[in-house]
Amino acid sequence: MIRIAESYGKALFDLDISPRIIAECKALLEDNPALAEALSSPAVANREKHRIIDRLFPDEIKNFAKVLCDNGRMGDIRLVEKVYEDCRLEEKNILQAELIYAKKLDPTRVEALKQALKKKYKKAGVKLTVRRDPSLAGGFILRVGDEEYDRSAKGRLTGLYRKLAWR
Amino acid sequence: MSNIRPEEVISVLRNEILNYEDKTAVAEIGTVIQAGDGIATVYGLTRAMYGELVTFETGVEGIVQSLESKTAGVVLLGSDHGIVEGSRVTRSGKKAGVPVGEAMIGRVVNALGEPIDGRGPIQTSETRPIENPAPGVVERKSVTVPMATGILAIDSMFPIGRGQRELIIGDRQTGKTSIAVDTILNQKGGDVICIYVAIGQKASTVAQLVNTLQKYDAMDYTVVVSASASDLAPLQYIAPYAGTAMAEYFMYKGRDVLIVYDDLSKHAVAYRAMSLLLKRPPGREAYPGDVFYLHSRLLERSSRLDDEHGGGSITALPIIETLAGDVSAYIPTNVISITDGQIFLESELFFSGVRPAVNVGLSVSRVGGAAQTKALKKASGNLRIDLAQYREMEVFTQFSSDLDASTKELLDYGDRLIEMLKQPLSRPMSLHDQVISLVAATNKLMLSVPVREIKRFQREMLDYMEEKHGELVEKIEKEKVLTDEMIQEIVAGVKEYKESLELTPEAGVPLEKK
Repeated sequence: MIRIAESYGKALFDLDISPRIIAECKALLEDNPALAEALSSPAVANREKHRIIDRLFPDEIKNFAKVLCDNGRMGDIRLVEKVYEDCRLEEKNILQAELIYAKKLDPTRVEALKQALKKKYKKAGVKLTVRRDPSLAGGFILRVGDEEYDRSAKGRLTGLYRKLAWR
Repeated sequence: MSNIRPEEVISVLRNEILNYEDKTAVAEIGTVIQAGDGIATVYGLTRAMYGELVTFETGVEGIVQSLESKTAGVVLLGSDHGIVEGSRVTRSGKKAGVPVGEAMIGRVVNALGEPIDGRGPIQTSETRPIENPAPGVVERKSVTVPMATGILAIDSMFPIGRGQRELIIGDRQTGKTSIAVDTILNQKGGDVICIYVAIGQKASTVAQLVNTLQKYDAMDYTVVVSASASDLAPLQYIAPYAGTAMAEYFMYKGRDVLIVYDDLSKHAVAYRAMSLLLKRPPGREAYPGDVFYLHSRLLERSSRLDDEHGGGSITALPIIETLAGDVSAYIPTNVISITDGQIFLESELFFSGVRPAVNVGLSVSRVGGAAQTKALKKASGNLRIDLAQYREMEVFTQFSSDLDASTKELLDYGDRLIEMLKQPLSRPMSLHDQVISLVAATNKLMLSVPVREIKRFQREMLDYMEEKHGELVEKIEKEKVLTDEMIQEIVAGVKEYKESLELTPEAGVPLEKK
């Protein structure tokens, strides 16, 4: 699944379409779930799908959307979009990171964190998605690509449990 | 059975909690994108190594078995319950390994080294990777020290040396495991550590085996590694390697180890199951292309090291089950070409009462006399040739009344030899018993004993020799050589015993008039 999405995402990136148009399409599909469903449904004929695309989508992206529909990959559009985002950020040398916090967020510390990451990974900028997860019970988890810094209370407790319950 | 007191448990826990070090390190993670059939495909883990241990969110571990550009195929070493798409997988940074050490002796463990005998955790300080390169050519020494099995048929004709790999091959229910177990029992009082690896066996069979070993106090020097039939294919796959890793710990410390793989046919089947699920292309009989390498790298690790490297050794007794006696099938031929000889057990012989059902013609030990006790070598003399001649003449037993005297004698002699080579289960014979029996037989002293009384005669004769000729017996055990005078002494002793029987026929075996 993810390998296919990668091919399409990269292809979309190579098409060099303006990000504004991509964002427009994304909004179009998100605001109209019926549309997304229709385009990914095998019950709707390809001809029909093409007509819909011609009417609703901006010109530059029409062909791409049609190819996606013809190959039945419209269902993976979110993954495709994600891969496209990844390519775009990589091109701009921006690091993607995810911060999951437990209780509350201190904006100055978050800024300091971003600077530290920028320095460590030698990138021009950091795009930090922030999410709250009360089940962590304290601390935070920071994920950068393959690496994870687990500083949450839940993580520490799990570690302690594993150590005691070992064998 | 457990001798751990509650206070001890609490104090251990308290210690662990107080000394808990918060490891503030970076974890490298991946995400599961597909899981099922004991295999998980993980996205990420870009720096994972082949054969590395990884841990899933549920605590289950896995080994990386295939690396692609963005994904890795991981075989699960536990249940896939709770592992869903999106689960996180953490690298451990180390190759899959098992705990090893003196503490493993006497325990029954699974393929991961975890105890399954209910006697509490095993305290070891060392772990060894399950995959380890075999000792090189320069580190080895040739096999010269005998590994006594206690089984007369084997020790006399197919002697096994320390550091040798001898395959035990035969159909189902022909006594393969029994030979291995008897060899383990015979190591009592010696300095050999035994490891029994059960692959794909029924749990009840393993339990029975452990009982037998406990009964004869063999668990004092044995480790049992069990990956039973209900264990996952990856666990059955790694079990022999784990056992070998434990053996290597002792070998590199200069000890001698005996390791039994029971059996490698099931090991190959488990590997096949795992490979097919990893989408590796099937080859002959659906086995993956590297099934030879699977066994060769395992068995090459059994060797004898030279004095510079400690002089330890691992003797391997792999077991292979054939179907309908077909030794030219794929897996049997592979393993035969890897090992230094085989002991071939036949169903026909087994059912006709010859147990151990060793086919003398097809069995061989490629190390042979170089690793045989001098005394036994001299005593067994031409045993194999005599039996070969007997087998050639055997077809004439139907016409026994019409044969000339020398042929008749040959047949009588052969019958008695075969009868004497039979041995009951769990009764390993000591060196002196073997030597005396062989000397008595090869000097044709048993010809006047009726065939069906041979075993009884042998037992009583050995008892007599121990009682009346104790110093000779001790001399054999101590010096392990057989001089011509000693042979004469034995012959005289046996003749003495036979005379005593003639004088008091009710007391022992009635001898025939010959």
